Amino acid sequence: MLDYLAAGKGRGPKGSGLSRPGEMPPHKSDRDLVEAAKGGDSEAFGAFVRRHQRRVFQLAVHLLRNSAEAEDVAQEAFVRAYGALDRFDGRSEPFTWLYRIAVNLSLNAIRSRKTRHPGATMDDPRIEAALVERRPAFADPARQATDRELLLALCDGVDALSETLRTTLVLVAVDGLSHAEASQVLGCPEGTVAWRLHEARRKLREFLNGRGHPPDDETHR
Amino acid sequence: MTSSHREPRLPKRAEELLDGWPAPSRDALEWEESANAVMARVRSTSIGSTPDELVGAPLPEEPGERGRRLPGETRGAAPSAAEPSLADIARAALSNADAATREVARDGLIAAELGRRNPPREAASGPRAVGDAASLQGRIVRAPEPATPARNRPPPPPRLAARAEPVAVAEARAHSELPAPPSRERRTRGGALFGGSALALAAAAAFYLSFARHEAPEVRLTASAEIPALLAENGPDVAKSAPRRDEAVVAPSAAIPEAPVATVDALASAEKAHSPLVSSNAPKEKTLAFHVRKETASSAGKLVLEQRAEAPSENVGSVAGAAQAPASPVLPTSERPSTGAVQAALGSVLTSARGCLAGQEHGALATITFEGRTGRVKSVSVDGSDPGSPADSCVRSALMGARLPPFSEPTFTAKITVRPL
Repeated sequence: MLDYLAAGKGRGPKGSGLSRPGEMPPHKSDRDLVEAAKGGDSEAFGAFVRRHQRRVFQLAVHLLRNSAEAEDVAQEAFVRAYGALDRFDGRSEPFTWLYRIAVNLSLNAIRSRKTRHPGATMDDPRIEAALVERRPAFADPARQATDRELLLALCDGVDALSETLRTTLVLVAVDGLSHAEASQVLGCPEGTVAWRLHEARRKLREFLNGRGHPPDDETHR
Repeated sequence: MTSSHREPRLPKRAEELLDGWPAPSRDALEWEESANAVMARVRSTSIGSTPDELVGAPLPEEPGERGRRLPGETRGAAPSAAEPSLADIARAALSNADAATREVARDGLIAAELGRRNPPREAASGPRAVGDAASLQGRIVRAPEPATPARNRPPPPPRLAARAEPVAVAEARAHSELPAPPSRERRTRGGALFGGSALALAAAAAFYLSFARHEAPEVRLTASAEIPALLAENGPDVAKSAPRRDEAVVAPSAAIPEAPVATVDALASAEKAHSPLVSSNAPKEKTLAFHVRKETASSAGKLVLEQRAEAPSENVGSVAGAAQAPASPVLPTSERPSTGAVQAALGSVLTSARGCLAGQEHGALATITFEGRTGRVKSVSVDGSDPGSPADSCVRSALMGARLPPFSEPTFTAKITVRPL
């Protein structure tokens, strides 16, 4: 079992806590695990779950803006992925395939909401996580207050983007996927991913500017 | 963050916050509980229970994006497990086969793409359009030569007609199940028909080279005592055309219809192990041992496949192994590429390059230098887009995919204007 737990791609996803220094070297790749799971090895699929659950949860939190829903979606994504193992044809990486299922489930959850998600508040799990994670030992209270404001604006700006732009931004900018990986998840060419990112950042910059957070080059003028 | 300095910059602090934005932290016990909960549900889940829409591409296109889906993508649906299309087969050849097969499949797809792009003109020309499409395939168009022996020769299979000249292509079309060339009254549908025909040609060419694998002008099969028996097991068509004992069959590879069916089918059964998309009626797990050697001196460039009666040695491999033998190098046929070849090569990547500039007001002038020995792009320079910007690198990357048939001059430079989609 322990052999399975090391990350198979040798690439540490941002904020996921995987592939940290000191972790054991990878013994089983994601593909190995998925192939074993297809053959009925549930332990292999368990290892796949443990390897990727943080990433999937993080993705779901940023798409859903709700920890409880994100937890449900993350679990559901793995169950659905297991149920679709027969359709994994190996053309993409298993984790991008898993991500696609997680994105589909997240979007379904958002679309099935009866009320529109309100603007970001300090209870937003994304803000909480960012403040906890990035809180320095001797933080300047003024700086913290500025960060909090900026985070609120950032959350509102991201939430104001369309589903397509927001999901692409989260996958690449927040989760750290390459354009190629994001294109696998989203089923579009890399050039489209690049265009969406450019558009998302342009709109986000305009939004932040309107909320009193101009780009640095304008600040110095 | 993968953004470059040309992307719209957020405030520096916002960039820092966005980059690697964490999720709420949990301790190891919570993660383990979560994993156990998943596994408990997984144990009561059967493989195959997930609906297709959950594994399909998730998002709608953004207005103004005009992007295309990845090849074979369907939105909100799983990759189809149905019969692969001809385009899929050609694409599979592109990804799985050796260099020669890839190039021919690519040429065929280019022809198909050009056919789709210019439907009215191409459709109006009817059978002539097919000839044009075939001529785009360069190396795979050869004059048929008579083969010896000619007896018991099976009728030319339609799927192999892509390697014949336009007249033969037209004949093959008459035998095939493909739609007939569009009449004057049906010109509006000509584009689709031509596209289908061109794709069929591409797939047929890919099939053939998957089987033959070599561009050598001559393939010699020396039959052994076991061959007729083995071939008889492979089916009546094979047995009928099987060479007699110790009879040497010399068949020019260019004259595809005359190539021994036994060879093609035997190779096809071996090929099946490589490509799940290729279907064959030949039984599985039947392999023929062929000895592969390259003749030198008097017959440079020829590849000889010999079936020997003695027990297999380390020089004797299965047909699959023979099929994987290194292909003879593609020799340049001209000093510089033809205008048509250059147009086809650039046309195949132009749409992708234009997609990189979507939303921009101005186009870019790209200078592409091809290497003669390989026909591949050696360098691309782009004027008119911001150096280092995503669009710039996207255009470069797209244009790097252009391929020409090898030519004898060291390099060839072409310029192309890339306008935004």
